[in-house]
Amino acid sequence: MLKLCDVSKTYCGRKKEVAALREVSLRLEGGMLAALQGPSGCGKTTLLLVAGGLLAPDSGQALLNGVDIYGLSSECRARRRAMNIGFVFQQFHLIPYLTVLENVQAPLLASGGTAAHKYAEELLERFGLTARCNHLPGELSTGEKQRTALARAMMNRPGLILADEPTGNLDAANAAIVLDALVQFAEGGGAVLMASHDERAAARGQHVWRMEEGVLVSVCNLNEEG
Amino acid sequence: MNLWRVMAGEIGYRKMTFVLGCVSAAVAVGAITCSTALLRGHDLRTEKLIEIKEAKTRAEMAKMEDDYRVIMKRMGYNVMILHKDQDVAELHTLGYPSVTMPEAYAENLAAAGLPTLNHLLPILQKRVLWPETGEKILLTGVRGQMQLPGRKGGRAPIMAPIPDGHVALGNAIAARVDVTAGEKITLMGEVFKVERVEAARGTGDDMAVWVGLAKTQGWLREPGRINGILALECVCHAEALGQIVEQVTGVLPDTQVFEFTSKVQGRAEARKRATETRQTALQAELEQRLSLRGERQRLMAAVQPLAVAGAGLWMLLLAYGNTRERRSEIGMLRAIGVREKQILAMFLGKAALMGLAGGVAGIAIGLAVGFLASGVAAAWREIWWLAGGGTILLVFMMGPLLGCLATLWPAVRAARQDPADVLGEE
Repeated sequence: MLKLCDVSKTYCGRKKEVAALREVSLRLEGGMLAALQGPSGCGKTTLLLVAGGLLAPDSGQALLNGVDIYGLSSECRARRRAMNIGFVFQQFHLIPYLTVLENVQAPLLASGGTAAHKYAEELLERFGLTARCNHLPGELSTGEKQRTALARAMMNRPGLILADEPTGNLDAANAAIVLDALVQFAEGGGAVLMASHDERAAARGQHVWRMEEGVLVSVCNLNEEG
Repeated sequence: MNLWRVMAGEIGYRKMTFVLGCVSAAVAVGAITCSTALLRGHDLRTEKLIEIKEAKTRAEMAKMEDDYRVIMKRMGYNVMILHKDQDVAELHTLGYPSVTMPEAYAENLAAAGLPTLNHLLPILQKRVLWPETGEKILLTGVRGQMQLPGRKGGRAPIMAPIPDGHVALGNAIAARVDVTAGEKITLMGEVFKVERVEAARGTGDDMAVWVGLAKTQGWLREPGRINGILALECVCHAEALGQIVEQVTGVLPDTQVFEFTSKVQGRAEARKRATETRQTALQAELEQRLSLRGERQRLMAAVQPLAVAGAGLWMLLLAYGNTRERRSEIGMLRAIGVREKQILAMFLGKAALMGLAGGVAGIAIGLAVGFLASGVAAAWREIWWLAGGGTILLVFMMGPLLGCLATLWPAVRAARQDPADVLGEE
């Protein structure tokens, strides 16, 4: 599904260079839910952006389903992203003037799908948002916003979900709903890579990968250990 | 879900940005429409003013011609046709022609329908004693103006016929015998009513008594005879006078024609000068209007680009602000796979809509202002003419075009924005 091979990324600041990723390699297969942990600034978000085809590494390869995504044109990469990857952000990034239903359907803009209305409604029902389908994001609670973002991430039936602090702003109940959904997604054959400080999130991951200063320092397979 | 829905949603969510953009487009389009309408309104008004002035001039010229006719009548006649045996010296000594000719000459001349003659008046004149008063008068028999074939009706005759039992008196003789219009007099043993007393002319006519031609022919024992045909020609140029002589003697070989050249020339010159004066006035008016138009055109030439540039700059700033405000949204859309050209289409589509809406409003406002300001009191249907159909169509396209051009740079910048920059900021 996703394979990073010796990926490095350095940000060039005005005063100094910051190595966000240093020869990171990892492999994520369908059915896996991996939690990426580490202190702020250790490179978690950069790793997700590189894995999602949004940030080209300085060196190394990012393979999605065996294809080097940075070897593709920008247009092809965008299309591949639309078809294969779902994103969940800590800040939700919902479109403020579209309703909940329309936000969930937003990925159709990229994929061009038209007959997905029913599936969008199923997702809303699954995340308990049916009653809110015609509301604007500004009228939602934080938990509802994140659930909307999660439904949006699943709209195009991707194989991989990249989640950056998906429970960072949520209370325990809403965090549980989001984590349950991610676990369920992985159980359905999808792959999830989740960057999080949240121990609850880490506890739900089958794999916990720890990062420090741009390096993947430990890999822990909870299932194997358990 | 499609781009139109996203665009419509965003327009509804950020109404003020859209309205301000529309206002910018309306200002640019309105300035062009209004200035074009003003200039065209100016042309229309000039055309109407000149038309009115020309009509007024024509009316004044017609009135002036009538006035000249009256003046010429009072001065005497332009042309006098006499028998060829009439001695000129004797004519001047007696003050009237002594040689007679058949009255039928006048009828033949009228029947010939010479284009240079407008009025023919056969007369029989002789200086006689008014026995009842002891005054010497110029007895003048007239039969009224003869009908000329093929002439337009409606013009007043230069001399009305004297009805039976009536006379007209010259100003001096009326004063000498102390008679006014409406009173009765006795002439040659018969009683006549004074039809009118002519105004003083300063000529022999002031001692004339006008009586019916037949009565005069009877008194003078000259039945069927006349001694002159007075003619008022209508030619405008003195150069044509020679033609009159040629034409008259062609019809009546036994006659000679006396031209009162100086009077006719005076009339012709006066008319010519009056026409020139009118034309000069019209030309001056036209030039003044053209000069005013030129000034307005120069002003418009400065205002139009300024308005367009100002509106374009304002739209650019609005679009730039809009793309900054939507940075996170665009980053997310790019992350989920929305392509650059789709983002570009969203911004340019909105700009085109803004330009279209503003353009329509601008055309309406520009036309209304131009219509009112140009002072053309015309029907509303002339609005299309005011700005010109082609101009309206061009301006109609200009709104969306201006919107797209002004938005292009911010839109391209937004579309090319690296989503990682936005999403990584978290």
